[in-house]
Amino acid sequence: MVRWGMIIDLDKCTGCQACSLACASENNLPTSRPEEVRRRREVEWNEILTISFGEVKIPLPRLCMHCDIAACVKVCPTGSRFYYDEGRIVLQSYDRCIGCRLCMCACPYNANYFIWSHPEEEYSFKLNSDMVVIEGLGRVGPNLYVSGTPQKCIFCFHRLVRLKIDLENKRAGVLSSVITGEASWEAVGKAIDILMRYLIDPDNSEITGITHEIRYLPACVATCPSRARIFGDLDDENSLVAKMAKSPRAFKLLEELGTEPKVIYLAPKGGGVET
Amino acid sequence: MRREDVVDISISPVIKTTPKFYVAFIILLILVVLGFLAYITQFIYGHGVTGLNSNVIWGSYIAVFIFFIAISMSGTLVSALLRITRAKWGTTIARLAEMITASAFIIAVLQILIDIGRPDRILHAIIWGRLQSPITWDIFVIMTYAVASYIYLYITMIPDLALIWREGRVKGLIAQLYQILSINWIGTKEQVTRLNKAIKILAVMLIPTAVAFHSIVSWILAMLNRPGWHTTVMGPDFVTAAIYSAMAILIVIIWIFTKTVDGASKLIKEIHFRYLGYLLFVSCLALIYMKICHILTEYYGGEEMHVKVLNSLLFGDWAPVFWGFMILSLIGPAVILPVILFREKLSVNGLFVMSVLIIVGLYLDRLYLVASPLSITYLPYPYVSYTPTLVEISLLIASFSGFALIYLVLIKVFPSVCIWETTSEGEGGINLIEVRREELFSNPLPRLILILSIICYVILMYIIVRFFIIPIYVPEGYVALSETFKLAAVPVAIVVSIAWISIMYSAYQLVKISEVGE
Repeated sequence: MVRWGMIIDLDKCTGCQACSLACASENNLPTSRPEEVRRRREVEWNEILTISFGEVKIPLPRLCMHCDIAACVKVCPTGSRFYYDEGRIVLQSYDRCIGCRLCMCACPYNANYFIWSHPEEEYSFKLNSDMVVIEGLGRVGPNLYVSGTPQKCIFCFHRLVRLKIDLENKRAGVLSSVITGEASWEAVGKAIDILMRYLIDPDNSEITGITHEIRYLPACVATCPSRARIFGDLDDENSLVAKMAKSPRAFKLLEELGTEPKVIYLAPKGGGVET
Repeated sequence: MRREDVVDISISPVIKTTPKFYVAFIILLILVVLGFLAYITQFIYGHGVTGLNSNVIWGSYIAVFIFFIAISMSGTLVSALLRITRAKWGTTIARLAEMITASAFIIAVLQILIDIGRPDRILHAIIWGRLQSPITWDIFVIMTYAVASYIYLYITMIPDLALIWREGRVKGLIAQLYQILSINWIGTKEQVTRLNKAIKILAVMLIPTAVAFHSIVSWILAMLNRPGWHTTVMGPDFVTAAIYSAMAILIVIIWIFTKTVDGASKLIKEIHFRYLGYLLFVSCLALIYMKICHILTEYYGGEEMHVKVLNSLLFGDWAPVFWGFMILSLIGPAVILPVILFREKLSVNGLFVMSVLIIVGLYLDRLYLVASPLSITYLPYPYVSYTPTLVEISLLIASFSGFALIYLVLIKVFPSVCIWETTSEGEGGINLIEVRREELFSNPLPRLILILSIICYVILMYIIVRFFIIPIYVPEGYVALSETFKLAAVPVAIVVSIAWISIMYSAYQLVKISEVGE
């Protein structure tokens, strides 16, 4: 059983917004006009907030926390917001949602974004067609401009599914030769961990020649120039992400609300005070 | 008062169409059509035409929904409660109150359709409904309460319809409608007992259902972990506000009724206004108590987020709305109502004006209750407030006009005063009409109601039981926790099933009433 999680090292994050941009182009997010941004109508699955940490203000990337006890899943009247069994990612079916927006009210992180109007034709050229469809639930993959429904970060679920399919068909390049045996979700977790270690420190990596396979990582993780983000299987004790989650610097956003988020932040060293 | 006079007043709107009616009808119709155009705009361009944003995602529509749900309390409260306590003064205005419930429900349900982003998928909430969600509880309980209210309105009307039709007071289509609806009522002893049984069980059941109903509507907000919503006082607050707004709207309605219908002032006298005024005053004080409970405890507790919400309410962006509500609905009435009520000569017009102001204030109350906690976010997002746009305002106006329009049509078609209760003074001596057995005919209507209610009950129970048994997307290791939330639906399921049993029982009594001549 895998349990996808992400570490964001606030010490490394420079607030460059590259993750937001990568997310927007990967997930077909609509561009917004200035007046829409002023009215908070923009769609930004990965948003950079500014928080005070000690005496300094630091950037804080906020994506969907993929909570283990998600408030949005609890209140959804149709089950269109659900946990994906393998990996406990919180996903949303675009085809089932009735647009009641109770999930947006329930989420303490305000991680949901409503699609306010119908798709504009000018965006259609850049649609990512790597759509995930779950039987009985409909489309859950990258943003679809389904107007009148809220949507949010999916941990680039379509990329993980793509990796699994490629492992099954032995098409994942070097990864296919490294990961042997059945292409289970655990195997996907191991593959992701190999990619992650390679991304963080390519010089000391045991396995090389997987630069092209970085595309299987979530867009924001693959993009981050300062390597502040680490993605992986929290249940696998040997994975990078599980090790870093045990760091004394680790904290979760609004932990006291009991939502058990799977996005874990590493506080800046020295409590944020510049040394 | 003689029976003939009561009948005259009761059906005078039905048989006489004054120019006033046409003027009111056309004005209301134009406003409703304008609102419909506004809705078409929203349907075409999406929710972007509203004033909502990513933070304040619920606004005027939900406020109007809660407001009309609150108004629907009037039928239950006045009619059922006064009938159980045998308060005789209530019988003349009971029908008018029940009609408020009947009209308010239609508008409230329409608000949900206006509010949700995908009205074309509304059936998904029933096909794939999850028992964990407060919205599913709402759907169950609204269905139940609406059906119970409509049946209650209909059952109390049967002897009147029979009387008016058999005396030949109405003609044409309305006479035919009355004939069908009066299901062979001839006023035999058996019929009277059965009718009283049905009314009593519905009235007794309606009151706890109403309390549960308004609490469950409040749980849509209160169940979420949002400062400003997540308080236990939300349920009692909603019930109290429901009683309060129901009283206010009833005073407005009966004031208009006495002014426009000939001879109505002979029936609805100062005493009705006075008693309703007392109830209005008491519920005003109760609501003040609820608000103090809410604001004082949260302020004193001093939790950061709660204080932030209250600050925006009391001194911040929402202050005009909040203090508007406080002055119009709480402080103003608490000061002025005693002056009006405890004078020897009651100023009916003063009471009417007060009621209108209270209704406006209570809408503001619902608006800030829904929207203000959303504008305060846990994380440091840019602050945005919420202002309703033209589309939302025209839909608000259209909702009130639509309510008045439906009410007008109900008054125009059905007798507006309960004749048999007003004249027989509650002794069960309902007008016996000489009727030949051959005139009776087999009427399929009661059987239809019974069969439909049984089908509804079976479907409802099937849904509830199925949801309890089949888990939906529960990951391993989290089964217990996720399933526990289903238990929150147990009180709702109990209320709904008990209410449906009494609905089916009344439908069965209707069948027995119609079979008397066979």
